Amino acid sequence: MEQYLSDSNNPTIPQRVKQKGFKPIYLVLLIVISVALAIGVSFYGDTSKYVCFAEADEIAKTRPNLQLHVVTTLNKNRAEVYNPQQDPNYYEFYANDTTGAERKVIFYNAKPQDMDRTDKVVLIGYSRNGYFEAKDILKKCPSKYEKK
Amino acid sequence: METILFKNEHLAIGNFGHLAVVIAVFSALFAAITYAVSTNIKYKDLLSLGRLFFVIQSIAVLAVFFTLFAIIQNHYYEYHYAYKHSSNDLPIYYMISCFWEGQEGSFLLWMFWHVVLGLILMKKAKTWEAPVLAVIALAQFVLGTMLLGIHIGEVKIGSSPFVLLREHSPEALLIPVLEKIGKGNYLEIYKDGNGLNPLLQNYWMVIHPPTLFLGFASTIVPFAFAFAGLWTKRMKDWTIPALPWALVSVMVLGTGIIMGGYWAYESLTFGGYWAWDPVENASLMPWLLMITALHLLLINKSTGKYPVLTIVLTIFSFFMVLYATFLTRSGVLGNASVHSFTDLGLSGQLLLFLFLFIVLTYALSFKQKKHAAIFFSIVFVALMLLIFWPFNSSIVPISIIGSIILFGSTIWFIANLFNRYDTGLENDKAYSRELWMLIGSMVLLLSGLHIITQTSIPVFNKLFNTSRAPRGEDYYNMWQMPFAVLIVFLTAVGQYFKYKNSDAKKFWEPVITALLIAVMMSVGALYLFQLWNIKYLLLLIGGIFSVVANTHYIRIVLKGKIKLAGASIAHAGFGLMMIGVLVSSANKKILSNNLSGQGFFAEQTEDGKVDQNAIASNRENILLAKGRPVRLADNTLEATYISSKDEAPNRYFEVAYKFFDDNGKLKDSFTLHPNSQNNPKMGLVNNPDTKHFLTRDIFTHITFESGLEKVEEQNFDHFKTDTVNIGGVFVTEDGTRQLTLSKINVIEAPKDLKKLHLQAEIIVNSLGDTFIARPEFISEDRIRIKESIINEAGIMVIMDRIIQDENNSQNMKFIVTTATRRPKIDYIILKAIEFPYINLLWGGTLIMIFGFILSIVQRFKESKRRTALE
Repeated sequence: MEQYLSDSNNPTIPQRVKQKGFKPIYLVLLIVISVALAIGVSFYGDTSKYVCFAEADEIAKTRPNLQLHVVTTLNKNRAEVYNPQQDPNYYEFYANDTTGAERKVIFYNAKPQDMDRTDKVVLIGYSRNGYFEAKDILKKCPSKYEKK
Repeated sequence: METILFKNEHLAIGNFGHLAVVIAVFSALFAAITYAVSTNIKYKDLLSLGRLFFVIQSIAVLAVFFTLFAIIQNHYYEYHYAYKHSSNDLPIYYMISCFWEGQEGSFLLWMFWHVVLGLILMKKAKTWEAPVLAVIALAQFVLGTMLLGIHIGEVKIGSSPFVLLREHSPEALLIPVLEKIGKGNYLEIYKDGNGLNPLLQNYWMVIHPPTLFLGFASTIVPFAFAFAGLWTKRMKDWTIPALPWALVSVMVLGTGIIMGGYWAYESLTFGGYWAWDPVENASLMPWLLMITALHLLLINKSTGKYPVLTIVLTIFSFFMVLYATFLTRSGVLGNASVHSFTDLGLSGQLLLFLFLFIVLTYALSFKQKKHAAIFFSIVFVALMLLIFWPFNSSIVPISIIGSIILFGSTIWFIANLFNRYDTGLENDKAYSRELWMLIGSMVLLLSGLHIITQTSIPVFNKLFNTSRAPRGEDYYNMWQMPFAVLIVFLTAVGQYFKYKNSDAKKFWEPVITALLIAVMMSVGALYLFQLWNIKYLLLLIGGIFSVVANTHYIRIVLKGKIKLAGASIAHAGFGLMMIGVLVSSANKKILSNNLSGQGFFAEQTEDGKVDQNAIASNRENILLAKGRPVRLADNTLEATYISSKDEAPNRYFEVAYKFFDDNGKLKDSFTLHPNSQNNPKMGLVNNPDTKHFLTRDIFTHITFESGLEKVEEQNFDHFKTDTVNIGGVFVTEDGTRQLTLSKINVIEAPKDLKKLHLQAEIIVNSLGDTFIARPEFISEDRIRIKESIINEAGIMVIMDRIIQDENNSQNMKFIVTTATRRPKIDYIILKAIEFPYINLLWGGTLIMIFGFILSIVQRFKESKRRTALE
């Protein structure tokens, strides 16, 4: 049956390699192209986005489980909360997104090292009712150059 | 403006270094030109001139290399590079790490390896020398310009490692103290450098970067042979010398990547060896392409088939190195990676590097001069567009045009190659090795394609003004696992096929045997690894199949000839690696899961209910108070924080572990010493500690410790006054601490009764711990009292008054006031992870590398024979 799959009319094949019989290479080619297409579709498919807090709220209304990225600046004027004796997995702080909007952020984990020396962080997580729950915090260290 | 005389600067060495950079750049350019011209038979005498220039260039690069090292080693902090990347307290082997911490140093390292490779090829490449060395010299020229650090108008070319601190950062001279001692004496202030990032103070950081960079650098060799093949129209021969070099590339780059993974596992707190971070991906992309190219070179060597795919993949592996360099060095990854990048403003130059080689390679593919002319005019127009495009307007249209041009010319390039090789699609038999090797290569290619597109998301964002965020680990794992499954199965069966065609029966017999053994072993492995999840089953069987089938192949087909078994050993090693990856990540266990902490129910939503999101969250950290054992991981583990020790700048914590089996019997006990470094320049850095067992690793790191707490002293509260006798027992107001007045010491009591100084000894029982409070009472002209505060128990004890029984002077009552606040305890917050069978991963890696080395030796011998026959 497989013999009928061969495409002898295909003009791209030079005459000299034209042979009867199933050419597995076509199957390989077909699969490779379809997986490549799938990769492309996946690339354009559902993906996390860089958003501001207001956009995160909007998205959370319809899709509460989509992880979002928010580029923020820590608000060091507002006190952070980390009382490990009470709960080592609760860290709360305030951050401003690129539009300047402020939001309470809760990180159910230990306070990340270096947090005090960072001012810009990328929050990865979900907008919750009244706060942003960070699953992960990417820190961008400020320039290492420091004057004494 | 006043001129300042700067004292104690060592300017000569920097000037020398800079001069050496300039010499290196120009001699590389001359070497490239003379070598290029000498490829023409008419000018073959120029070859010796090309050699001369390349040797000069090599000496100059070595001079730059050692000059920069001398500056770091001698602590010449007047140089920005030394100031930024090193400090006085670092031992010499970390000086080496300082060297490549900065971008300039890593470019230099790259150039150094090009020099080594270039000199080897000058001796060994024979008829290929001129075009191959021309390519390497051109790359050296481009890399050299990255170190120039000169300004032409607005344009900055390169970034010099020999820039002075005061030139690089004029604000360094503006600090107030220099007003007093004079700016000329600024080096008296800058006596120590900024230091090396503590995370990089690890022996792996001494050898991982050079290995990785040798891997990157070595990709130019197969590329140069392919390029030379197009150039000198030896379209088929180039694969012979290129093949062993592709193996070298794959082996070294693979080793470098794994070393990075091992370093991340040992010294980072990410809790793993691979996180699909863009920087990690950037090193994996060229490796995947190179290993694909390697397999095609092998097919091509034996059958002459797929010449176009072979040359395209070899070329693209090198392009991918340039692209990866652009990704990691230009700052384009920005928010996408945890690694921090410093943009030296070289992104334009890095892109030019990439496009220069693309344009040159594509141009060589044209048979007809007319077509080449059209191609060059398109490139010229594109360049003009890029330069004169009004940048304040939207960048999207030019990105679209640029992408179309790039994509179109790539198609054109490939079409040209098909044309020149006069080949179409090959016709392979279903039982031929080349077909199955091709399929395997395509799987590797698709896996690479997936990683490349995902890692390029930040680039797409820049080009098309979108705001897509990079994906997480789960997404990558979901996509990459099926590829891994296919690859392990293919590595198991691949070698049982013969080139051209094989006898079906001869193929199936050993394969079925191996598969049956593998399936039986998998049943055992399922019990051993406790891997009860259907989605892991295929990878497990495949991995075992690969190990069994390749061992079987070495035994029955190769008759145990290890010298010839490079490929089988490498394949078996890869299979073992995949089992290790699977088991260690699927069964990775957070030992410190904290589902019953005292604050667990503290997280409530506004209406007072327990926050479900919080429960589903990480919660992987647990508090260990000093000296108090805590049971973890379903009661199978007891962890105790024993003590801490300060060894500036590190603070080491001793954590004792006891493992119990299901019957409560002690299985293992050991201590780990994770540390935290509160580095004044770099901030807080935690270093994990890992206990290695043969079948599992216990990984521990400190996420917080009481010394870091910034909580203000709380005021005492809950005051309560009791009247007690000696031996009397009483409690605090909240009843949490029990006190016993054990005795009264008379410190001073003169006969004249003018003074009375008493001290009480009160035993305090707080949460199972016992302390002694010693409040004092002094009565002289007036009454003074000295309270006793025990922070660990959060208690203050005051002896207020003494009531003497008038009838019995021996019978005294004491009025004692207590007040409490939250106890201040010495504690650590700990995260502990168990990685089961991770040694399969490292063991598999070593076996794979060993296989590659055997193959390299074998292929170089073979290539020498074949070149001699030419």
